Amino acid sequence: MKSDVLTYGPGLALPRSGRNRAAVKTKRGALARVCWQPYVYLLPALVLMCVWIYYPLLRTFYLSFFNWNMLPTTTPQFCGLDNFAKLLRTPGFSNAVVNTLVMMVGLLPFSIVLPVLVSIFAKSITKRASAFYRGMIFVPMILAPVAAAAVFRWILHPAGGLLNQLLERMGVEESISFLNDPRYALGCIIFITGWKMTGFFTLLFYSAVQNIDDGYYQAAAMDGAGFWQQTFRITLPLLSPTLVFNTMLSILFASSWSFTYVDTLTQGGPLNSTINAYYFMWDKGFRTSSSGLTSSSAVVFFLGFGLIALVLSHVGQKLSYYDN
Amino acid sequence: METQVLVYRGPVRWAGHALLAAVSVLSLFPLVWMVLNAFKPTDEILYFSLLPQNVTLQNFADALEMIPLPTMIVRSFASGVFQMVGQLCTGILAAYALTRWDFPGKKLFYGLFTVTWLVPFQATMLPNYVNLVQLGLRDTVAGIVLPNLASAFAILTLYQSFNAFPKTIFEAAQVDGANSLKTLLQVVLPNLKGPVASLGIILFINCWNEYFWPLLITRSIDKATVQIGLSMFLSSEGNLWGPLLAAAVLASLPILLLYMVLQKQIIDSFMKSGIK
Amino acid sequence: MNFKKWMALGLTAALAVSLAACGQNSESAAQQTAAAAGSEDVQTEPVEITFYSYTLLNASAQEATQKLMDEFMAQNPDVKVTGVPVSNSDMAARLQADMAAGEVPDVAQLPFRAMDFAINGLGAVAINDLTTEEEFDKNFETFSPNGLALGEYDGKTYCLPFTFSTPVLFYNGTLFEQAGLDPNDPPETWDEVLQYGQAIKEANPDVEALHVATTGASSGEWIAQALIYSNGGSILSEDRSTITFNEEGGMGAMQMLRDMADAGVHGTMTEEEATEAFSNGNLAMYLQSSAVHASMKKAAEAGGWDLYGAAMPAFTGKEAVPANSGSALFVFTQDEAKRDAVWRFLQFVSSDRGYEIITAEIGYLPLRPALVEEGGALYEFAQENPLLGVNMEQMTRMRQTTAFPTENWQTLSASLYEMVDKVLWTDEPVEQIVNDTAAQDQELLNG
Repeated sequence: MKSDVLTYGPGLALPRSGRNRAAVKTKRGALARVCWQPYVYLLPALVLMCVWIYYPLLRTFYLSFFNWNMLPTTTPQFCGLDNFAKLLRTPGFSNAVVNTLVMMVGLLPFSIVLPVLVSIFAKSITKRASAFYRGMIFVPMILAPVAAAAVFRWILHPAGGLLNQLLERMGVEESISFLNDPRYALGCIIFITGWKMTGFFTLLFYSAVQNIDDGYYQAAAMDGAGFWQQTFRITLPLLSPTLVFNTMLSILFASSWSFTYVDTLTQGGPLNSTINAYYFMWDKGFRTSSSGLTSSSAVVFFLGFGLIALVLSHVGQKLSYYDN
Repeated sequence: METQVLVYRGPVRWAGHALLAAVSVLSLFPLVWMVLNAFKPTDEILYFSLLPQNVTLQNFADALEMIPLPTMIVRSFASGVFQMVGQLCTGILAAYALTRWDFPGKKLFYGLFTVTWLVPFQATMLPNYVNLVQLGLRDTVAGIVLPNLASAFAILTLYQSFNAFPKTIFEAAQVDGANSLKTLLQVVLPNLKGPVASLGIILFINCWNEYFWPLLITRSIDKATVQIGLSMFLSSEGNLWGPLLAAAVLASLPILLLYMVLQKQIIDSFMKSGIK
Repeated sequence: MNFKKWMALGLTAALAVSLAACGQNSESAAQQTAAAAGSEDVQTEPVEITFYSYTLLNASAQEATQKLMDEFMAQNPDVKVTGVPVSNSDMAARLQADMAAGEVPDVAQLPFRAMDFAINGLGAVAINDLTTEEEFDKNFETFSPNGLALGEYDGKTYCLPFTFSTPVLFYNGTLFEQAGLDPNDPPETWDEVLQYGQAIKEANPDVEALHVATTGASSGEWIAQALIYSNGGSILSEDRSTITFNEEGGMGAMQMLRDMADAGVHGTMTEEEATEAFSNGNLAMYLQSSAVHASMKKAAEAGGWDLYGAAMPAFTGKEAVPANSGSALFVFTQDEAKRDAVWRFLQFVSSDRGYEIITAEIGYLPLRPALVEEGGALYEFAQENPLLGVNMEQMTRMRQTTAFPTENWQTLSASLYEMVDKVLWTDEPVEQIVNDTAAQDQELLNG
């Protein structure tokens, strides 16, 4: 879409007049007919979120200060910050925090670096060819998580799995228990999650790169800019809003996406080396039917994610050219 | 016919092919392995042979006999479609509101949507379950879908696409006397087929791959979804690898189909934008 | 099929149903009057009871579980059993969720380790209270006394062993022979296991010699408990208030595992990986629940190696004390009207026919020993599966797996296998690992 110019603002070689004009008009158009219209459009999403997310969330906040087994026959007992104190003492909590941070960072090569490279290089080949590759890169997305876990379990198997066979051929004598060795298990979980998500992020980045107006590239090519110059002067700057958005997405969802693989492959082990925020909440909270731990850990991780999101959006605003 | 505006030659192009091909192979290999194993008898799966020596359909027969896979696929598909359509509708409306107008509270609403991203499902699961039981929606597609009809991811992704849409066109449509809904349906959406279709695929797959929530809602195997069916092959008495992989292959076919249909939309829109 | 045949078939079916109903009515009417001197009307709606089961969510056991329910309903047309499939690890949470939603489950299949929580957290009803003392005693006359004791808590029976198993030392006869060991002479003590393991490693360095299935969430901590029991230790004090596994018995059991690891005899795999390694002939000895027997048998046949099984090894000079794994049926019905139906369902499940299905089709143990003796319904099955005899023998000396109290019960259970993980796969001194775990657990126990 040609019109993307307007959104992306002060890029390097961008026509500035278009953006200014749009900005002025938006202001005037907005004043013409405000009042109720936008609220009507927002209503369905807002109502659904209030009923299914905000209401239970507030309840969880409230319950985190009470001692209660959730049964209607008993009444909640106020217990102040006891649940939070208990949370800190629960084995695995600090591991969960650290591992979550490691996963957030560890996933970035799969969710950002590789997809960006793929999307950029996709520009260098024909669209038909790149669509073909992208189709293949997307395929892991459609695979059922249980099946993906099963496949990787067999590949990583210590008793004859493909990876160990390969290593043996390369001269590694002792077979490695990848999923049961604290040195490797977390890396494996990150890899599997990343493998599953690369296609998703490639789709997002690819659309964004394809949406950049070809006019810039033509102009740049006429100025004699080569592929790399175009990449650094046009593609990356114009991609920056998407980059910020996707980085945020990847970081905030690392824990949630790896949850299934932790649950099916390692159950947080060995020695809590793969437990993360989501698995902690699930295993120590929900599964244990402990309302206190479920709610206090949900509150803590919610606030933690919120803090990270705040920092990221602050940094993102500075790095991004997206200034509508 | 497509027109490639810029054609790079030489090393860049080769590097492009090399990188994309390498990533493709890495992406595909585990899948190929899965498909091959689905056709192997159990002993061959256990012994890590790469290619099947004795190709068999037994795993598929077993899988279909042990779990009601077709009804599960239909149910998952229905949930996926309803949830996807729901999330797209609420998302499109909200994103449209946020990009078209400036209005008091705009930032607040944007923030409210974003914050839902941070809410772990463990925090909402139980209260929502209690609600749904009281509504009598257990064992129904509605029960699976209802709490997920609005998605922050959908809203924010669409917000980005909508934001890229030239505001001048809103003005023009308004001058022509079109009301805001008409503008959305007749002017904005037709131009955003690509992004909406690719988002749709992702939303559908998210729902398709969901396991814990549908499991909580389900009270009989006949009403279970595909992911529940697949997990039934794993148990402490011994995992049934062959049938699991066979069922997983069968279960990927419908999404593959949907992907190809929607993919065409996406590529068409890219092509169009290429040609202009 | 032509019209006449359809007619004939329909008539036969109708006849069969009405006959069955007649036979049942007289019986159940008597029971109904005995249980509640309420309405005499036999034509009432069937009583509906819910059965929360995780074997219903298991592709291979689902059919047999459904069969149990169907046969019961065929015999008791006035009761309708609705099966609710729930995953094993989420069962407690699901029960609580449904209770929170105001729907109390009637019967639920829970792991034994959940017993304390089921009683004190979820309000399980004692089975004794479902019926008269006389009838209760009559029903369990031919029941294994040790089996019944598994469900006892403070003098009452709170659960009925449903799918229940004991630990068995599975071993690969082919690997034994390659190491010059006689498969018909399995190791009986842990010292012998160590020697055997070293011989196997020496003959065949590529295979793993031993895996004790108590290293992860998938089998849990019950075998660790059995090891501690067997070495004369215990998990908790009688009053369930003090951690005791860090006393001599427990410490020695853990030291044994460390010795296995130090000698390179115990492998480094996860539980699932060990199962697969044993299935493809890469693991020589596997101490695991007898429930995996059927799938191991299949794997051995496919792989062309010989599967053997022996009783759980003992510590030298002591008698091995197996613990129990698997699940039991708990009752949560608060509704008096349903109790009779629930009792009849439990009676059926624990009847000869019930255990016949559970043993032959799901792969767990029959708690009515007469079944496997000559003339019993499972006699032939037992002849074909000699391992069943090993299990029946172990049942005579087993002890109830300790169920941890308090809402931290799952974390406490998990701490035991996490302790084993550390013993096997870290260099930390065993004493320190055990004492640290005990201290942490004591704190969790205190709340």
